[in-house]
Amino acid sequence: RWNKPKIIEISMEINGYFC
Amino acid sequence: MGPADITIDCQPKLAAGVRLSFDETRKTWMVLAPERVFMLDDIAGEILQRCTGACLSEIVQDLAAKFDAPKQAIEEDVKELLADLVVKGVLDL
Repeated sequence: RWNKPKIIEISMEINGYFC
Repeated sequence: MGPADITIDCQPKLAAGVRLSFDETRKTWMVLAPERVFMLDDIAGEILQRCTGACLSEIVQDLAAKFDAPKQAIEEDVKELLADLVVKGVLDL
């Protein structure tokens, strides 16, 4: 469904993975 | 620079040296810029995949058809995202 789009700048844990 | 500065006939494109890439590990679209990385949600990914030379009115039309959602709402949301990306330096109009 349409929702307001979101972006985040990563530098950090994402979905259980560390960057 | 804000959403009000974005015209419906602009042709948003990623800036030079910026790439759109699908990250298989994270299962998400990413914008890869020199020294900076942005993670996109599904909607932002759908928008950025269309920023390849089409004008904004075509992009909005296409998204409205795909999501069966009102064009006005989509146009406002897309303009807000595009303005943000222009300010961040990863998108040209």
